[in-house]
Amino acid sequence: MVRQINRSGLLDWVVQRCTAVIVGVYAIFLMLYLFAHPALSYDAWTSLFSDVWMRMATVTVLVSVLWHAWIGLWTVFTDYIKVKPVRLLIEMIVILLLLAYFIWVLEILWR
Amino acid sequence: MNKTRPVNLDLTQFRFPPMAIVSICHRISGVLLFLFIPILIYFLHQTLLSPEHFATALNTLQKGGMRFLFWVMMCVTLFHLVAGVRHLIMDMGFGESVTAGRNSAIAVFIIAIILFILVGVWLW
Repeated sequence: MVRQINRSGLLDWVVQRCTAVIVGVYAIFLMLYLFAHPALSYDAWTSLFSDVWMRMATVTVLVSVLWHAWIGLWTVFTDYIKVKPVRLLIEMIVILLLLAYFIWVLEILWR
Repeated sequence: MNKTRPVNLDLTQFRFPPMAIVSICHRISGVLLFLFIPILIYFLHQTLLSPEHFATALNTLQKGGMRFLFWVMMCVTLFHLVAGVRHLIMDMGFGESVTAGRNSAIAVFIIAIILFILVGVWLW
């Protein structure tokens, strides 16, 4: 039985900050885009997301959000849920949800 | 252990410093953002499906309750962003003293409240 998985928290630390910058830049861009287009049309909106750069950025941000969320939630669960089976169950549910979100967005972008 | 040591468990006497309040709000906003993910993906899906779905989704977002939820989601996002920027600045080695940390924590709340008001003005 696995007693301990040796891994460094440094990777989590670096990933948390890199993904934060990626998601932050994208969020600011998207918010400014919405501010700049008060009467947004369907054509403008779909052409934005059909652009290959926007799609690559969106998928990069998607992976970043899910990874960032995982590290953050792992920290929160480890701090506040002291019953190990309950914590593992919730962590598994979160992982399944994050995977489902990943597939959902891929389906939306490449329909 | 010293039996005569001062003991103060009157919880009303405790005051959390601004840094602690920013920290816990950063956590709470992060958990909320996780809960908002499906809502955001749902609207991304709806707005990209067809012109009809796009119009319906925009209509839904204009309704009182949904508009308020949208404002809340924007506020939570912006707070997490501003508090995160403070974190990154401190990671780079700036403003790590207690005084600077207190001031930047207060600055996070002031900037966030200004942004909340601006988003509210934009939405209504």
